[in-house]
Amino acid sequence: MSSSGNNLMRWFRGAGGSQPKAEEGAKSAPRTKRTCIGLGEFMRNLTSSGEQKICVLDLGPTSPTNIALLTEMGVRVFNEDILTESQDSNYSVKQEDGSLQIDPTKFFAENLNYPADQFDAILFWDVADYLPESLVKPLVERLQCMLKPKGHLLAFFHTKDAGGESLYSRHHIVQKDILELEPIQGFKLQRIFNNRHIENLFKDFASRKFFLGRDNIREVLMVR
Amino acid sequence: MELRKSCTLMGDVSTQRIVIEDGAFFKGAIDIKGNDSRAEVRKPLAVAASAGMSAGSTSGSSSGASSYSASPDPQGSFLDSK
Repeated sequence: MSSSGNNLMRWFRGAGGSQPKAEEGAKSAPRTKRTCIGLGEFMRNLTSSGEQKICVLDLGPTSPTNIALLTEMGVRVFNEDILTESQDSNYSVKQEDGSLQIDPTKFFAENLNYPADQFDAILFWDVADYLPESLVKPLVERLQCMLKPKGHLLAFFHTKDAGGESLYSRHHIVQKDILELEPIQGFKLQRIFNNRHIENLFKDFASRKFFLGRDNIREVLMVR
Repeated sequence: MELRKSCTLMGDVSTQRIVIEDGAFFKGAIDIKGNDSRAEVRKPLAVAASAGMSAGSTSGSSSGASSYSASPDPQGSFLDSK
């Protein structure tokens, strides 16, 4: 990574630098609904080609709604709240300048331990926008490995116009193309990806399809 | 099986029926087996009450998304591999 790149990342992170802690017991803000074309396409692709159940990995905070909807479709649901896990200080190591940074090796020793080609589809949501910098690339590489060839990954990214205070959300799939967003306090937007960043980050995927919403959220459907 | 609001479950579950309260933390896999099988969502009482109060403020906005193919951006990227 270039030094100008590092500076840009620091600028997006703001002066703080330390990871925010999820506020326990924080009052949840009102939920909002949004129609998602990318999600609709993602759901349409969840069809089994054989006797084996489809495996879907949800990387957001546990959503009973998602589990109910997906299991009703005959899907085997895996859930790992990767962003909350990343707040665990046990995965951090002290850097030369005294700051703490998450060690990807330590983190992945206890998270996302799945064999290659395990999942037919992955719901990445907007996790990448809030994840500590040191985990972003290793996580995407790991997801690509865990996803079956031709498997789908759905990710959301905030655009610059969404603003630096955009809240992280728990995503509930209420219909196959409609999401209910439940804002969660305690996570700060770490960066804003533009199209070029996304293309680079997911460069090993076979294809990427972008859907730009009027609410400044860019949905991207990746196919391995 | 019933996962309450304060529940944290780490591991794989294979069951015929599961009830999950909103707020439960789950890390692992859920496999629902059998013909009469299903997963249920249950809101905790406190949450259910507040959800009822805020139902009027929930908006049904549509993103009105349009799709496009991304063209390469000429500017450099902090994610560029160099």
